[in-house]
Amino acid sequence: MERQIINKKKRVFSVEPNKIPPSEVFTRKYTRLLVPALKKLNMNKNSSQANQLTVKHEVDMALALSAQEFAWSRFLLQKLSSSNNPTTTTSSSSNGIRIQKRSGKEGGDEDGEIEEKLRELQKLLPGGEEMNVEEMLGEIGNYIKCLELQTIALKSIVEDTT
Amino acid sequence: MDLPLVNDSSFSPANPSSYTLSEIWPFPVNDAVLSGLRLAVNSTPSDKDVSTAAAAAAAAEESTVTDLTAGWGGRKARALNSEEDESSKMVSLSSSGNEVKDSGDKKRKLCGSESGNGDGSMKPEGETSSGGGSKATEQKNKPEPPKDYIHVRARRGQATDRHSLAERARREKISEKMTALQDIIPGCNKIIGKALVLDEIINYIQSLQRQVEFLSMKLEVVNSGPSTGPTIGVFPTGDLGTLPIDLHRNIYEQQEANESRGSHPEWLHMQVDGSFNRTT
Repeated sequence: MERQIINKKKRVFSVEPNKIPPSEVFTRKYTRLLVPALKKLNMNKNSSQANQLTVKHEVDMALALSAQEFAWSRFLLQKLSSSNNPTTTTSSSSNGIRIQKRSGKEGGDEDGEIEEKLRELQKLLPGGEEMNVEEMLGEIGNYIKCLELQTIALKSIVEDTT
Repeated sequence: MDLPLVNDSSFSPANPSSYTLSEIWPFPVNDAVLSGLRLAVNSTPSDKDVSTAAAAAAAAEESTVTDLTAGWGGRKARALNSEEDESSKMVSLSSSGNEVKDSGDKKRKLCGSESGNGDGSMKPEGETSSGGGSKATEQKNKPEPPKDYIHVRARRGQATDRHSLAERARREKISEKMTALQDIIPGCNKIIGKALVLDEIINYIQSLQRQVEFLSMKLEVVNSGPSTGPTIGVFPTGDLGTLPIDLHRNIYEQQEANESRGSHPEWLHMQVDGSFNRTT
């Protein structure tokens, strides 16, 4: 798993045309999925759907579908298919507040603090609560990378349309 | 208890071959006992001398045995257990046990390395003589118990029973992954301490997720045209149909720029645009 993370960090333009760096693979898949979906949404915008949630839904869906080799993408897909409302990031702001409060109170068992933080981390990762800690730490690495790539892709999409 | 092994017959000059320790004592030998027995072996074999030497050796052995009763018995029991458990490795065990100079630790190392060639599954039960089921505590020598599949070096004075070894292996794996994460997250290299690093990771993930949310909101506004945008000037609309080809290039350029800079200032820029407060 670490190798995947390291591979994603370096953008290697290899001489062999067949090998594509994983970050490129992800980004390509992502944009290819997302753009048509957005176009479709654009067409359907007259129907009374909650537009914001649907876009988010598509965004998450594209993320999950472009990263299918990872465990967290499965969980994300499950979440998306079970409910139309995306639940992954809506709790982020509340989690942020909780982090602040916790850092305020010092002391206590150090190991317990670390465990609490690990649990916090687990909540952030889709499906993190069903994994054990080691697995989760590995998955978090590539989740972060995919999130980064996703933000870059989204930014480009937005900028290109403005 | 093992006194019958060291008796007159083994020391008789008629069979000099049995002077070697291996035949007298097929089990691994502690250094103290080894030196005591060697003294006995090297002395000139006359009946009287031998009996006293044997008695001395026995006494020495007894004392050391009383010193390390648990460890001694445990080690032998462990050796027995290991021999029973892994019959395929019996040959290697006995052959390594016959080496005179070896201390018990070396024997464990040998059989550990031999059995280390097995498949690389992660079961910690595959340990041979190092873990054992017994409650044997620290040996006097520096213990080097290589596990079957995961080689964990136990330091001096640390418990060597199975559970703590497994725990230690687990902890090492976790810290390995944490260092890998530190490499990914910008600005995390200088932070020392698991808790702070975890804090950073959590904050980073949260900010990434918030960014995605913000961008998707923006996208949705852009998508839906001028009629639903908050202010017409701020979010001009565009046509998504003209996107695909140039998009990839832009994305890669941005990515390259990000990585060359080594940080992600753009999302900081984003924060200014949006109405989100960064919780630090």
